[in-house]
Amino acid sequence: MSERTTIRFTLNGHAVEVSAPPMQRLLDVLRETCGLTGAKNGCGEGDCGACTVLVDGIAVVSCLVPVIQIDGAEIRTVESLAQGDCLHPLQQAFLERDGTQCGSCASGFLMTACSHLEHGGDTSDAELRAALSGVLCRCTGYNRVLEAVQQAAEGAGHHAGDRL
Amino acid sequence: MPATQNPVTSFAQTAFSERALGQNVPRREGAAKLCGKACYVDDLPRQDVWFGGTVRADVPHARLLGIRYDPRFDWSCVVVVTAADIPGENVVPVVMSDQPALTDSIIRYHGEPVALIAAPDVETLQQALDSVTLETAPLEPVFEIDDALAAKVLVDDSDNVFRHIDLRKGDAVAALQSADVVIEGEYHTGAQEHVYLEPQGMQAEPTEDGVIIRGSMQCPYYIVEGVALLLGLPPEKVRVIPCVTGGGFGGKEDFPTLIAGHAALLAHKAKRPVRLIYDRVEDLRYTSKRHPARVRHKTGWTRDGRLVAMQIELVLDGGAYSTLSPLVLQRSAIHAAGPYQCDHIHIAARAVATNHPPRGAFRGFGAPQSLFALETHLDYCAAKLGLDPIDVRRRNVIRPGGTLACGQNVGDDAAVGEVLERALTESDFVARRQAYATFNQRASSSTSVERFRRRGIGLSLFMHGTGLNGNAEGFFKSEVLLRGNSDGKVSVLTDLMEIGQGTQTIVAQLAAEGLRLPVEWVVAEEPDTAVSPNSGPTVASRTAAVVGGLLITAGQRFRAKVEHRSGGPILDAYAFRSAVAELVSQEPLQVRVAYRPPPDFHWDEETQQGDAYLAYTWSCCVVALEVDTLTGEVKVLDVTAVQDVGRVVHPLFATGQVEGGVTQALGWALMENCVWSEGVMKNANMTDYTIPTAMDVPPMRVVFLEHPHPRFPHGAKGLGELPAEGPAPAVANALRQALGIHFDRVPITPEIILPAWEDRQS
Repeated sequence: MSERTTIRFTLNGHAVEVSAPPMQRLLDVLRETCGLTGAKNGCGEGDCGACTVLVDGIAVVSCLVPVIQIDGAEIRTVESLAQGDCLHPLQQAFLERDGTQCGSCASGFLMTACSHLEHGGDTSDAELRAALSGVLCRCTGYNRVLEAVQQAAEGAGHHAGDRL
Repeated sequence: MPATQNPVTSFAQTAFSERALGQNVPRREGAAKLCGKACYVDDLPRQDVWFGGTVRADVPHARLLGIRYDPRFDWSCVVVVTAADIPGENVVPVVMSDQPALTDSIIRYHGEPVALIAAPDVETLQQALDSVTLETAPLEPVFEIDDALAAKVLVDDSDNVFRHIDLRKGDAVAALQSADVVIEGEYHTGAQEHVYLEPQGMQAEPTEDGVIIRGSMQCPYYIVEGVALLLGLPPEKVRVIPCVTGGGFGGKEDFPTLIAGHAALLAHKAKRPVRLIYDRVEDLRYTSKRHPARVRHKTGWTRDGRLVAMQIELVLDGGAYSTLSPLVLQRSAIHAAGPYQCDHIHIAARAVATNHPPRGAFRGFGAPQSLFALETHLDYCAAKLGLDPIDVRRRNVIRPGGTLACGQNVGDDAAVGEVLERALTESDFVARRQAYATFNQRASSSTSVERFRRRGIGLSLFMHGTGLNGNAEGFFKSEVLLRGNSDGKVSVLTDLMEIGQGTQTIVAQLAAEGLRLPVEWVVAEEPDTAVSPNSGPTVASRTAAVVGGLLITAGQRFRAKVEHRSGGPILDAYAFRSAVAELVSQEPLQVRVAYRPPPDFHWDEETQQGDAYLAYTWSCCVVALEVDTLTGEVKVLDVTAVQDVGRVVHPLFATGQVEGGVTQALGWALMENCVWSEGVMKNANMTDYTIPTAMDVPPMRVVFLEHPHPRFPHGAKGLGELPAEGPAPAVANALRQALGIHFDRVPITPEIILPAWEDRQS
């Protein structure tokens, strides 16, 4: 086991301090050390997007991030979206449109869409397809996902700078 | 064609008010999945769990002479299992049971498991795996179908043929001689990887006198059987508690039995829980794939396009062990002549052994391969005959009372012609075909960048048999159980797996429909073989139809039982619920229903004649696309999928099944290319094996025709596999219009398109 370093960051609004090998993947720290298993290890090579989390508001694949790089950063995972029993508008729309089937890609799409909408991203079909293309889904064929994100954006009166 | 923004709205007419069936009931486990709380196997607590790994052969065909353990590694800190440690039978029980759990003599594929290691952490595990080498004496490998058939080198213990099926109707040889025109074609389809987003994984936990298996799977009772045999335990000592499963598509039908067995062997020897999770590369390289196929057609026609005779030779590459190949072959053969009426058919089908990793179940189960060949061949024939491919299909589609290749009379359930006409209308096929012809003509004489673009539209017509083949449904005697709860709600117990298709939700709907109760009052219990009955495997598009029928019946009987014991009919739902609670407070209240084949159902396994399936679903898929002839890239513009699946249980889920199936098939048709070299998949990662992304998928128009099927009390036929069958030939046929080229294989990648286009230009 390589030498450990203390890393401090904000996780879903809470200050966190972990001791981990500096090159350990953020994904593993989240899943194994922090107990947040919503982000999935789909490929471990940054291709499938199932491990996507937000680092300072930007959607990144946590399987390619050494934990040392997030020292001082603000991390948000899929576990942060719902408030108690109240689903986030994106989650609600995914539920209504059946935007997730097996669920493995859910965290990836939700966090990617969250970042996209928070940054005022376009929700036209073409723009959204491009924005979501870093997350792979083998079940839905993506059209339900697209509709869900568009529905959430509409429901929130989405425009640039709006927070859902 | 205007893109369908919201195909779900087209279901308004299918909603049955105040009924559970046909309603878009919210996905039961949806919120848990969307909140990151659904527990998949690798999300289980890690305390006290050891991690397992597999020592694999690094040659495709060899004699195993020995296993060497590097003395520099401290072997006392890990547990090693070889074939010698297996307490029971060293076998993975599937149809022919020819595959060992761990080989101890002959290595038949690169990656074949030889030993297993468990370690307290993954770093130690990796060091241990790296400290094992195998001593082997190479044998000549077989990779090609023709070499397998030549049988000069044997992969299996006989003649390299796992199964040979002859399907005969009439006299194809004689009829071919009387045909006006005979047209031949040869077609090839490649392997396809499932790419369920969650890789294979299992955890085994030893108990006092048995084992608990948790993991990712489609068929809990397959695992009970496999692990019991391997550990030499009675089946009741093996308890399978599936985890939330991240996709299957057939890839988690038979394969999980192997990996569950491995985890169980490690846990048994380590005397502690062991988790065995494949990483993506291992999963891509060593788990099953869709069978590669070669299909030859020799078709006799009258000059005006009537089918006179069909002679079809079909070979599937089954890989090193038979797994489900005998059954995949059977479905492939039965579907090979498609939804057409032809009096003289001979289908000769073989599944052969090669030194590739064993192939297995994949959505469609052999039918996509034979239907790709057939539907591409029909357009090829139409061109040769100088006829419109639409007219050729119209002329030959099976009609009520018609008989399929296996001799099965489809009765009144023959909406295939209607499906074709509806698809033509929905896609505006004829007008668009004309418009694309004009477009292509203009492009070919253009001097702008437009000159590189070509467009085409194509279609395919196909069917899928609902449920397991022939007598297999009768063999499984699937059971469902309804149980009254103390709060008056009713629990449904099955072993059916939710793998994305919405099983938990529709199981509750179907029981509620039978019970005539609000769906919210029906609890779909999670499968657990300690309490769930064996409802058969979650495969073969059988859940909503076959087991669904049992749930409807069980619901009706449950209601009858409650009403009988309570002294008469109970019209009010609340009163019914109170009655259930009251009865449950006195004694357990449950109803168990088991499958029995319909009395008029007859299948002869010997001759492969009779009722091959309980029912057939019919579908037409239309694909419109544009090709960039400079790069060979294909952009699919839109897809129209029309299908008759009987009554639709859940319109939204059904649409999702079609869209997802179409997308997988577009991947198989255009981009998913398993590259093999010496029996190894060279592109075993998700950078080099690409599946469709959101940018590759077009808008889709999904239409259901609902003709309730009388064999099921709720009229619902199967759905899951059907949509995966039509897109590939529709793509090939659309490319025929776009480029004037006959593509006889999939995937049709830019690397295939470009040289073909250049050839045609010169």
